[in-house]
Amino acid sequence: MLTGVDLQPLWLTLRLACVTTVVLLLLGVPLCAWLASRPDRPGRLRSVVEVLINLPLVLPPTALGFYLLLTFSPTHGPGLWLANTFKIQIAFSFSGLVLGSVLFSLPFMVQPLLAALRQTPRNILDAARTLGKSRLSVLWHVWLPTARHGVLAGAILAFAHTVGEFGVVLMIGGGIPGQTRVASIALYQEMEALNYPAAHAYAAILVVFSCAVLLLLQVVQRRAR
Amino acid sequence: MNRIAATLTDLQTDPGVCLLSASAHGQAFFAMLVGDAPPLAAGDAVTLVFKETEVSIARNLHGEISLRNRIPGVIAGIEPGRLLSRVAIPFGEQTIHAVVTTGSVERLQLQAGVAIEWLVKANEMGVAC
Amino acid sequence: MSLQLQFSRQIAGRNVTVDCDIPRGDCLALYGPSGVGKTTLLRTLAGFDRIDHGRIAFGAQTWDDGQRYTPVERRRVGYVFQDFALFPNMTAARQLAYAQPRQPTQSVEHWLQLTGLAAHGQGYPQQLSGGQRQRLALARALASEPDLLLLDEPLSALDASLREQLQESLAGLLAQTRLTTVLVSHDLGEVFRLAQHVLKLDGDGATQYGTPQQVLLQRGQYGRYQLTGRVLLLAPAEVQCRVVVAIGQETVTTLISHTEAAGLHVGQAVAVSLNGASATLTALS
Repeated sequence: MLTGVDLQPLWLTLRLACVTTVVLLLLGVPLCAWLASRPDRPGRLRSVVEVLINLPLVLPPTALGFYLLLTFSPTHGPGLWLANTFKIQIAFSFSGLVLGSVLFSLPFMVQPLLAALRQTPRNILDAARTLGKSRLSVLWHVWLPTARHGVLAGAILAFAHTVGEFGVVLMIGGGIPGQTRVASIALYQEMEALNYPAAHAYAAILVVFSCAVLLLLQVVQRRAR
Repeated sequence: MNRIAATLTDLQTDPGVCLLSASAHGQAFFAMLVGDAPPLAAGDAVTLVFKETEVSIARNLHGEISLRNRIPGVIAGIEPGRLLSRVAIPFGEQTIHAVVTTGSVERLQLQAGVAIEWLVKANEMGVAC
Repeated sequence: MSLQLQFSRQIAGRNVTVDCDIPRGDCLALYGPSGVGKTTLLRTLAGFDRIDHGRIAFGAQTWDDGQRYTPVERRRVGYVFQDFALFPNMTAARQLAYAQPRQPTQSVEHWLQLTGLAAHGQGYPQQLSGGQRQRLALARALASEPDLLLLDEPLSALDASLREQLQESLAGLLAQTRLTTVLVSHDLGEVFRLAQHVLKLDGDGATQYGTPQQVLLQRGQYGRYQLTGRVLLLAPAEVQCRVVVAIGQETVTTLISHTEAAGLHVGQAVAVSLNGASATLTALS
């Protein structure tokens, strides 16, 4: 079945999901640690940031992609400046896909991670502080290990969500074969071209993958309990 | 509880034990206390506290006795029970109560108007301040 | 190197004022019923909370005086939490190693030995018994080589027989390490066994400070000692009234006058006053 199918979009999707997940881990962990610190005094800034992170949950993906495209179009504004100064092109490039995916999958990383971090008893963190440990040391040696199921669940969800993303990557990436044509876009384009066997192949792979991810998530959550 | 307002006249201390002397209505009272000495000095007002069951009654008492709190009085009334009786003795403007056995009341032929002495052992005397 | 506590702060809407100086190596007990803010005071000493007025200092270091403030991480306190707050992701030995300062003067094995956990270095907290967890929490606090040890009802999570046994070993450890200690407790036996000083907190925010004997034995009546109990039974008995009072798991029966009995009701909390000289003792095997 896979013989007539272009494997390029699948590899691209895999690469995009991996890079996005790594970026989200690097970004999400300090962000969540900051959001979960001082639960006695949440503060207005933390509330606002939490709302902004969750915005993609309700926003149409195409809307986010549209604004990203406008912002990073190489013909004007920030996009032009980036292209002139650093020779970086965001729109219609792999880095653009990563940027869009990171923003769009951020809540899927943050939600489980934040919940797990908030579940850690305060006394355990306080105990580490009395031992004279810096906040970074407490985070690395105590907080993240006790919340590791949240880290794992966040990474799995963010990875899976990136694989399934369509609207944002279509807007900012444009679906250029070999560069920004990920599996979900390939599926759409094959269907439009009435090439059903290829569309079927992409769709089936995505369905199987999604099922596997949900199963894996359940295993992680059961082990955390 | 019987309570008598008194004035401290002397305080002798030893680690863990102290002996208080006090006076009320011209009578001398003594209290032996276990524990740290209270922060008191001669002239301070204190309240002597002792239970009705810690009061003994004597009639025509002769000879020497070690009990240090020994106050003369006249019985005002007796509330009799089968085993125990409650004897009321005026002291100053107040009334001291003594709970003794009904057998003793009969043996000593106690009744209203009889002159007696009431006695309290110094270590049964408490001090509040 | 004394612990100087001269401060006040709001706890549950009441202003609590503390004024005591604890010489190095001594133990101060914060004693009182639950809910009066003993733990809050201990957290204030650790540096989790700020004071409103006054000063907290340890030796020459000012920890909090309204302007200057030393955060928890730099106070060098060893804190034993009521629920022990052990790290679930680390073995006993690993927790101790993590707790140690950069240049430790003692090995992890030393602390395991000292607290009787030598055989349990590779055990995770979930695999240890209640008593072992308590000792691990204490070992972890000691392994950080603190200047001040803070114990928040360290034995309250354990059952009575274990508590007595660990009280003994805790007393030995405190004497051995000569660490200045602040202990939160609502157990009189613990206070007398471990502390040289006591700060008693009452529900209305009032505090009393002194030796355990000064503060806890005498309440208004000298030479008499008071035990708190609850009236179980009030019954007329001839010219007096018979009262049965429960004190902990024990009961006491006494006779009081009808006038006094009229002021009492079943279930009421009362102080049972005992004449020190009249108390008799019998050794129990």
